[in-house]
Amino acid sequence: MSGARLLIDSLKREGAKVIFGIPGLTNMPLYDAFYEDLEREELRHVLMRHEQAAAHAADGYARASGFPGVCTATSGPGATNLVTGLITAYQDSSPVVAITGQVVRAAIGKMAFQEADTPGIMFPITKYTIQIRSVKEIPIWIKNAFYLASTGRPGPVVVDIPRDVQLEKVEKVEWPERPYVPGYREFRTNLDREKLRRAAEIMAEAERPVILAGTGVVWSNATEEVLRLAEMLIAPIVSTLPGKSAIPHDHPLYIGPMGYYGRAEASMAALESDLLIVIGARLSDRTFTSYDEMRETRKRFIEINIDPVDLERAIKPDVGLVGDAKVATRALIETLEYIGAKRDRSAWIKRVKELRDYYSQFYYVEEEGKLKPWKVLKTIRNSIPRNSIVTTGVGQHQMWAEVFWDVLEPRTFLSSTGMGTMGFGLPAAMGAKMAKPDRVVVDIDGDGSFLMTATNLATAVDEHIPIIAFIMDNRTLGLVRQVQDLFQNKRIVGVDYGPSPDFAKLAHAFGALGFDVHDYRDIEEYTKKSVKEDLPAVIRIPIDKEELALPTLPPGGKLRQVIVSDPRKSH
Amino acid sequence: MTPGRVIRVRAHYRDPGIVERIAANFRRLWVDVEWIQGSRVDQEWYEVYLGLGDSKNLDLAILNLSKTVGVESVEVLEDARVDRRVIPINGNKGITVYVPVYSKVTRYSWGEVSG
Repeated sequence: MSGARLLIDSLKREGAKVIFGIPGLTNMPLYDAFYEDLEREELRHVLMRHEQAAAHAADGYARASGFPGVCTATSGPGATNLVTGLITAYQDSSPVVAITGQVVRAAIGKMAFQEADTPGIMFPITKYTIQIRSVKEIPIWIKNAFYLASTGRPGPVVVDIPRDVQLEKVEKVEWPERPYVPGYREFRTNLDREKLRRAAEIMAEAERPVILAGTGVVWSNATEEVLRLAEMLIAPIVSTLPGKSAIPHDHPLYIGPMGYYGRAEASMAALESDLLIVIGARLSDRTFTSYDEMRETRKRFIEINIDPVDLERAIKPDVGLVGDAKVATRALIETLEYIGAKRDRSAWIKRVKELRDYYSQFYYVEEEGKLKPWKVLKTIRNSIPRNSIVTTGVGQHQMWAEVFWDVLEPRTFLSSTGMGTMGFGLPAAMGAKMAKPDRVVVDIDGDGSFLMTATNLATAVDEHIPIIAFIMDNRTLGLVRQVQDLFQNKRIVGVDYGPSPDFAKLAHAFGALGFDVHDYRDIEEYTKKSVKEDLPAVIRIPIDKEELALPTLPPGGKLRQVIVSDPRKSH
Repeated sequence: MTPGRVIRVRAHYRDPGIVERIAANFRRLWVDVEWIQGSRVDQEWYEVYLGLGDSKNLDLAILNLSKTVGVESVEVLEDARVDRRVIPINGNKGITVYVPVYSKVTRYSWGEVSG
């Protein structure tokens, strides 16, 4: 058996069903090895148009399914093209296994054709990178790669395999039963009974508790537990931007995502709370734009995090619980039930409603002759099923989606939130569709972001991956433009695009459906038509260049400095 | 020279990449490595002593290193005094070695602290 065959069998044994990639000289043995697997439909290969997109597709697959996504690239430029996709997965804790080809062992380090120091490049941007030296290492390191990618804080793992190792023969295969990674341990859930009791007492005493849900709630599937805890405490829930994917937005206690571009009422509720229960969030500078601002409120913090370092990195909590969000939240619920303390929090809920009502007046504004982002998103939401999966690119449209997109089921909102990678939306949607073929999958994108990976629309057509890309087209890099406009003396430079391309014609050229929207009814009609036709589609929605992504903060601003209405219109 | 901390790192040795990863951990957080001494202790394991410059990121850098794949543990030699010894070679100046003398150790490993 060849190393490449061993590799394919190892991937299949770990449960891989789909490989997103592009072949080249050094990963070609891998392609040759899975020829029959594709014929027997035991594996599916999706031929992407750029390796960055292969990594995003694997990432989208992982986020939608909860199972590691797999991608492959050849050595040199193939591997380096993966970098942006892999660091995107790393920042958002998404499990991806990337198989890269490498030049033959004798040529490594000698500036061979298409040689790159893949381990040297990948180490800082992945959870782990391993270069295979012998065919016998393949089974254990594929097992290890899936183990590393999906345990502890999930993340991408690269397995770099020289071409001659892939071609090397092995007589007898020993399949490992367990992973073996010296110097690695899963984070342990270590729930101290005394700490749980203290946390429950603090929760019972709190007058204005708020739960902040982060990515950890998504990855540990802790939605049910978080909702139960909120209902027990009658505590409003806010989320981080990625944590938005954990909480059904039609739950009466969910306020919305807080932070830099989050809902003002969510940030204000978090600030006004006397207890913040942080579940699975690392409290990045996008969520808490100023740690001092949070500390000054003198509120108490209970934090649950799988990673003990993240537990205390930003804010030292009154009670820190190290562990899986689902297990720890369940333990908190049980302790709270045991203590049995109940408190009337109707005044707090009334206050939160006041905040909601107050800020709503700024959000849902109509303007004659213009398609407003909030209403565009509402129209799309109402045109697709409840369990549809949404991805986004990065830019103003992403911020509008943060505020106005209603997530109704967990794991249905996928966005590059840590790295902020433009071009994520389309390939991530393709990956999500491969993971959940029965769901409607849409990419809410911007014109700038979409074009960064738009060539992969060809893949969506060729491979019949029927996703819908909504392009909120304002012919500018809107988020940069608005910062220049509002905070850099209107010195708008290097952001505005010309009339190219015509997105509907571009879609047609790729063989996809392409539509130009003129009013809200068009959105509904074209969406339903695209779903019915079951073909990849691009729906272009014109948005005014002057439209702002609000709420926002001034650069370096605190949450209390939130800007909710267009400051250009205030004079 | 008064380093901020002296640490001992026990890491799995597969290739010299482990030294690179240890150094990169401090480079990334702008923590200076004042001196470094390391060697293989057997086929599988590598041991490195580092004298680290003082920095507001020092604690975070140590904690991050303790949860790096391949790193078994990071021990902070709490009360370390470092003897700097110059060993002559062939009558010339020779090499400088740093010998930490300590009595208290705090051990960090994948989020668990002991010592």
